[in-house]
Amino acid sequence: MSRLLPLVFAVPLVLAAVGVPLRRSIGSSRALVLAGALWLVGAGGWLLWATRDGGVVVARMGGWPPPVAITLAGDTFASLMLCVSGFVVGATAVFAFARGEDRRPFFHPAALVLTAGVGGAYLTADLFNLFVFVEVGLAASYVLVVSGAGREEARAGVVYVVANLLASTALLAAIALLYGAAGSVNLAQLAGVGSDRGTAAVAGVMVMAALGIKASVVPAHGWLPRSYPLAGPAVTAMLSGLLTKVGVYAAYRVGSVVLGGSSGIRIPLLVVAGATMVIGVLGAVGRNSMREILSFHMVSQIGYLVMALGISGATALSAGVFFMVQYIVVKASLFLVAGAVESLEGTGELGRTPGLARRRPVLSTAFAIAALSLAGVPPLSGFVGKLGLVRAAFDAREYLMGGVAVVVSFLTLASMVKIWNGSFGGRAVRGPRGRQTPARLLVAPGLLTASLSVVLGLGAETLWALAERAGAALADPGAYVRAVSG
Amino acid sequence: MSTVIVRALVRPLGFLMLGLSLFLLLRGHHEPGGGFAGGLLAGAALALRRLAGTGPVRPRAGAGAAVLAAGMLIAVGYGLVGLVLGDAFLGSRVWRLGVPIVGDLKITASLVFDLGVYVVVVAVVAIFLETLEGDGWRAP
Repeated sequence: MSRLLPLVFAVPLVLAAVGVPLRRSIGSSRALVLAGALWLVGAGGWLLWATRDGGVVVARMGGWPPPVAITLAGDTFASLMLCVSGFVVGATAVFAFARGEDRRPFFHPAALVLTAGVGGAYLTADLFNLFVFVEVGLAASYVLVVSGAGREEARAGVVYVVANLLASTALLAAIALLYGAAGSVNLAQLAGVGSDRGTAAVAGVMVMAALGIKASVVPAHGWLPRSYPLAGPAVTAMLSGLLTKVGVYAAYRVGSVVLGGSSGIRIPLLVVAGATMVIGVLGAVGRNSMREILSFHMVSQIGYLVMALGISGATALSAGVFFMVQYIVVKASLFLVAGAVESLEGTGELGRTPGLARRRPVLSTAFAIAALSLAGVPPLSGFVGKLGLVRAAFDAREYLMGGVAVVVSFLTLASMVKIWNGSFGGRAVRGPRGRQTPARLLVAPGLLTASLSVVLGLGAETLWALAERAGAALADPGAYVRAVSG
Repeated sequence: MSTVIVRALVRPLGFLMLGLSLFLLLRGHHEPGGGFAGGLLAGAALALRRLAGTGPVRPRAGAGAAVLAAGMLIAVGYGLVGLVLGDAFLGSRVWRLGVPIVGDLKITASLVFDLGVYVVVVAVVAIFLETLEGDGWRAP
């Protein structure tokens, strides 16, 4: 069965190729995208089942022996990410269908290629292939952001494309340096090379830095709040759940395998994490539209993920994995609700849609759940994730980091309350009207993702157990390395 | 760009570039080259033709997209055939042919994959050119 692993990304690619000639038929195009999303969820589920004993499913492309073949490896972490990414693609695609945003040229094939690229990036155990899969996903995202866009969106698209091309160039240079220093791009052969001082360590840190730009950590965060709010609402939601998280996922992998055991990056990572959390949340203060505020919070929350990586150790990494999985769901939910408000009311500016809570109770409930979960209010999934992270910080005697994480949570809550007061609260006055589309389909994806956050919060134990397995494997990548090296 | 010199050179230069791109495609299995590099060079030939203004005024709309899809299917389909017939995704075979004059010729099945990549890259460049020239989007 393990040799079927390449199908995870091959099937969405075939669907994309089939979708190109079918792109004028909106019904079959939509079916293809949903099939691709379901495929990713199903593949993740299968992989989760196949690795339930903590094993690693390995496939060698081309059938070459271990060090030569490009190796794909799926473990618990990768399967969790596959599941949640597929879910986000599905939910955001349905939202795009409801808004008619998928009528832009090449939306469906691009969404499928994005799905394939992300799926491949989670599975590859080869740094150069990681670069290729990330590029495949990014190339598709360029199409999604810019295709059929107006002047304003195209301008935001330029920022997005230039920042990501720069990051890609840096990543490629760093991988080339690592190859020059260590003689391989296979993660198993690179295991631990970064823990010695030398060129390989420098190259490993450069890889992390390039991934950091892609994940939009401070000080390389500027591109994200400048571009995400201006892309189409459904596209913002789709990218928020997929691409920056691929950067974080890859940083976890590289940090675990290549730089494993290196204490030198601990302090820089924690400094970056703290700055990202604080600057992200403060950046949101002066913003006045829902998606702008949410984009800055996206930066801020990436800081939590980097913090887990900086603290390292099984407890922190488990909490990081849990936080990442639930956070992807929560963030998608917030962007979906913000997009629904923009579609239904014609604007996402604060203060322009008073009394939304009374007029659209279901949508408002979805926002309230997701917002409280983002801030980390019990019993929602964000609370469990943040509790785990803060406890790990205190256990590791990183009291300052734990404190920053708590304070930033409160600031996040304040920011969410600001959105609520500005857009949902107040007396019902008819705001500027958007177009009257079937509201149910616009609201459903946001509500569905928000409910998943409740489920992940109340039934946290199942996901927590999986995250613990993934975190333990990240803290001690021995089994992963052995499986990859064959 | 459409000067006499460019227009006079575009035909010989174009054929030279196309020939070189096929050469890169064929040698790419063991030596630098391959579908991606070859495809880019062929794309550059297309761009040169457009710059000289000797290309078709308006290509059939959507032709590039169909070619793109075909290239993707060739590349991924090759990988899947390896999975079904052999034992691994992208699995390859090598055949040796004794050809008179040329000598020992080695043909690898993965040339099909490279061909798919080549087609994808050429199609993407063609779509870029089509879009930049068309009325869909104009530089500000």
